[in-house]
Amino acid sequence: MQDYILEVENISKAFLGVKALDQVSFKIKKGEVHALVGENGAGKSTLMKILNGNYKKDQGTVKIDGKEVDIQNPNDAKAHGISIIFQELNLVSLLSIAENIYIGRLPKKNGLVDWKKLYEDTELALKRIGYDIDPGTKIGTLSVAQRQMIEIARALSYPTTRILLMDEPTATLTTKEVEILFEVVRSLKKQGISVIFISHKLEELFEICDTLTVIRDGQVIETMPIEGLTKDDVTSKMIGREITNIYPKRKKTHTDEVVLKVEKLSHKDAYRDISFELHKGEVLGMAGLVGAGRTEIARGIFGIDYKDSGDIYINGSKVKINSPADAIKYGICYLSEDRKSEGLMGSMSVKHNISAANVEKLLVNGVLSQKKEEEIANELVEALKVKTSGLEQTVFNLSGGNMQKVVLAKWLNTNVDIFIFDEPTRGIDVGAKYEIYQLINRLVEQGKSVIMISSELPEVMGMSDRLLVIQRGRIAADLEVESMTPNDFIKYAI
Amino acid sequence: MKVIRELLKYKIWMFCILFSVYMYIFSPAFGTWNNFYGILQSMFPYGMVALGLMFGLVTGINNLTIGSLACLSAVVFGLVSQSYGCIAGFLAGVAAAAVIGAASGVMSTYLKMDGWLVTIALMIGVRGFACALLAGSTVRITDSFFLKVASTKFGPVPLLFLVFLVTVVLVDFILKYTHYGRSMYAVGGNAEVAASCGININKVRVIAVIVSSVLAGIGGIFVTARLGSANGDLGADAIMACLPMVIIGGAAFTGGKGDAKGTLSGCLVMNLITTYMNLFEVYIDAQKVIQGAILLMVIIADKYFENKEIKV
Amino acid sequence: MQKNNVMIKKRFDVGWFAVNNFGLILIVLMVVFGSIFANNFLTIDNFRNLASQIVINGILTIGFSVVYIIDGFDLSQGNVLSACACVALTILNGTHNILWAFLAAAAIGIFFGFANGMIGKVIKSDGSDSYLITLAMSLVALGFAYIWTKGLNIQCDSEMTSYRNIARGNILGISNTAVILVVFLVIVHFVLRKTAIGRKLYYVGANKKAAFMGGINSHNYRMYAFMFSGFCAALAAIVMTARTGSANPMTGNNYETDAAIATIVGGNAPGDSKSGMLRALFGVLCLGLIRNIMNMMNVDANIQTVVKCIILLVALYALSVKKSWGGKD
Repeated sequence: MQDYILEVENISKAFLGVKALDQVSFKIKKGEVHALVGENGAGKSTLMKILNGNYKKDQGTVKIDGKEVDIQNPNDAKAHGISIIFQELNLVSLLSIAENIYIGRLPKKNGLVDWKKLYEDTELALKRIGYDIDPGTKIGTLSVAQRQMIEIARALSYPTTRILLMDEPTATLTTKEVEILFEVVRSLKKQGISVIFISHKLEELFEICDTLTVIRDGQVIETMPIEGLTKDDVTSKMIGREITNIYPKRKKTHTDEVVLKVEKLSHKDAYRDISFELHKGEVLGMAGLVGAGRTEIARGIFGIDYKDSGDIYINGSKVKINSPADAIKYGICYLSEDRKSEGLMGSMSVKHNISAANVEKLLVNGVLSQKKEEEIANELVEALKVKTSGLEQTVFNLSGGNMQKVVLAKWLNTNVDIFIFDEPTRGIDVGAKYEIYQLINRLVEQGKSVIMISSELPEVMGMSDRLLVIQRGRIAADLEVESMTPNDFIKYAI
Repeated sequence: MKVIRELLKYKIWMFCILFSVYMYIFSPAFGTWNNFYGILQSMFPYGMVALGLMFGLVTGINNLTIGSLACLSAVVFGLVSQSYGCIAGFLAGVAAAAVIGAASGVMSTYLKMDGWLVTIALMIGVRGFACALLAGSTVRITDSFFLKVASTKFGPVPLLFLVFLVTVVLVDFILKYTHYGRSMYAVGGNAEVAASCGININKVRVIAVIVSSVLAGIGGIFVTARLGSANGDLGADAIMACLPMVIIGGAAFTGGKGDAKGTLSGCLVMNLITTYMNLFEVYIDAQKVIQGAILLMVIIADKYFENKEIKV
Repeated sequence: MQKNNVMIKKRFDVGWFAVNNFGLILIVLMVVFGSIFANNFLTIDNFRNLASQIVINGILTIGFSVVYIIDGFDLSQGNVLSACACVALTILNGTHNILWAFLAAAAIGIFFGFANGMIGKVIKSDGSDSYLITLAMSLVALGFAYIWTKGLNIQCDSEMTSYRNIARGNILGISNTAVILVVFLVIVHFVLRKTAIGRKLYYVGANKKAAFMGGINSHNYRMYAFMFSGFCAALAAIVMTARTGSANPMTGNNYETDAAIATIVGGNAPGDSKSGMLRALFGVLCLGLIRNIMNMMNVDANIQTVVKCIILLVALYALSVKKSWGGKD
């Protein structure tokens, strides 16, 4: 019993009736490094947030060192020994390492800040993870990998810390940086601290972890020791279901006609030498790990961000795209993964949002026509089955799936032929997801072309005709989906 | 190499030295003790106000009310000291600024009102209130003790300038060595992170605005020393004068940066520029245009490089 | 849970109405207050006076509101007005041609607006930057006015009665200037509601990033709004100089603050599709009524300023409450 530092029993959590976690249970020993794997939306982040006190569990118990604990907020979590390092690092760039590690709890002497002790304590904290750097260095000058180190040092600076949760820590690290991180994790092990790792990178997990738990659809599929496991074992448990059932069938729509050709697109460190072709009626998937550069490529094509070099050809002719307005003129549109801040005017109505990319269409005799705007909006709302209380409803209040539909309606209201979807179903419930897939199918059936960026492997494989795998800003593979298996993806993506 | 990097930290001071040398060479009036005294004397009142502005900026609050606060404190000081002596007047003036500062802070934080608009609304209202107190006239400062203090000097160094230096050191100390001071930088640097680490960002900001307002008020009170009176236009140009001082001195509009010594150097630079324009007889109305242009350049410099990579 | 929803809903309804129709409520209160406390308030003469008094503020508020819609702020209107006024009269005296005077004023106004917008474009500004940019530009405009006039007052040539008549005549009993305001208001309302440019301004104000990604050049539209505000300062300058017959660098001093108050009290908000000329008119009427009543009650000008400031603060509070309800309908 005392062997286990953390025991999670039958945790369940639902959001608005949708089950995120269903009777999740597992155990972790002292000094164990435990991997938590599963596809996006499987429930890993939710579980971590419950352990850290950001969310409250609906049911179940959490036991630390054999005693049941009630974690209401992150401070409770810290008091019980749990520290988390999120992907969005919780640091103030303008302040120094020392001030970040001890933020809010600077050591005092006679009521004033004891700088000497602060620096000494910080040096000790850094030593614990073997990181040799001047405590006065400003966070803003550090790389992501280095900042992660600081977060770990901060977590360890709480004397009670016994369990460290890390959410996708290696997503944006180079191989060398990953090695350094693993050295730190190994030294933590020696100090008796347990680590829970959420990651997609199975190869790395095999290197550093002792045990592994697979989560799928909010449930624990299995907990197993790493010893003797193969990637195939894990992947099949992660994906587990028949891919073809979840994705609507469509007729063969893809032709040989090239509508978009991209040649040697490059931008600083984000992406290099990107070249590919998109055919009419095709769904071209862009898969890869988070941070691989897919969004950056799409934004470069669409003209939102600057690019260093590269050419774009539409239907064979070279075009210059310096802004989204140019891209739209040439028939390309982009549906951002961040719908709320980049795709919609949250405070405006459904009707106004649908007109946002083609105001000129509303002009009748040179004047904006309310009637025409409503006609167009009604037609699209009906066609896309947008669930809204009316055209006047503020978009801010719609559900994720309906927001996405409004964004799509906005683009259908223009003359674009090429649709770039960036994580089209992120944060959308299962029912609406299917509807979005059907809409994408309808697009290509009508002769439009789609590029679909997605981090959900089954989705991108189930929907695409062809798949580009992007790894660290370069195209690692350009494959026909029919002849692919999930392992091909993992082989190229990592 | 390292020596050069260390020297660059003091680039503003070095600019001041070079600029002074230039003026010394090309203008006979510059090298006099009188001139030296004049510069130091004029640095004080708006230097104080600039300290106040900087204090607010560290937490990310742009206290545009400072000019009107200077006016209010000056007027209250003038009126109260006529009947009750200058100490009472000083305390009353400072208290007035503190009260407005508290109201401003609470409105922008706890009541979640738009911070910029609150300071602008107060900028108008506080000056109006001060003018109402004056009832159309100006109030002459007659307290002899105050006037004596204001004109005391040790050689070419005014007493008030020494007071200013002491304040700079004090503010510097607060910002560097108190827990509160450090939390100001955290709040200004990244309020969400600060909040999630247990810092009460509303409280930090309100206190910052109060201190900022008090400093501005003190500056205003001492402006009367030079004018001999307080009127409704006092401090009307304070924002224009102090913003460049503060930004040149290393603060940022977005918060999280700034320190007292930097503001002092910025104050010196702006005063040297004004001295230059007076000594070299730059057309007085062009001076306004130049001041505005300097402020615009400061604004552009602050944000242009930051936003160079994005398109919108 | 059910019970809570019902109870809260009831309370919200009254509060919700108050917060959303702040300007209208204020006008009603003002009219009631005025008829009680001020003599001769409810007379045709007084209302005719009111109509004339609100013209300058009205024109400036129209410009200010448009800038506010794109999430900007124009603190330079007052001093730009002075600059336009001085230039207009100088040109008028020199050429004896009203059209030239008008064009000169418009050029100055639009130029300063262009400068405001261009700087914003270069630094890719967001809403709050325009406070400081226009504040600095205001100083530049003031300096320009001083340089132009060499500090002196400019008098309109006594021959130019035709110019002065702009402000003197009546059309159907309402003063010329009030008619100018109304016509201008209607035109701008039409542009905002019924043209592509107008609609795009709202989009830019609501979310300049999303607007950009939808093909609208956000920073250019922000610039157009500032240029329009500068034009309004010029138009107001013409009306003012026609009225008073003189101009100096302090002519328009602080007029922008009244424009700001009228804009916000009227209920305008950045990117809000309901913002526009109707709300601007509410704000102008509010402010005009307040000034009118206070004048009739012989309230000191400085107290009037304090009152206006308090009203602005209350309006800001109402806005923050509205925001915290998340724009629920």
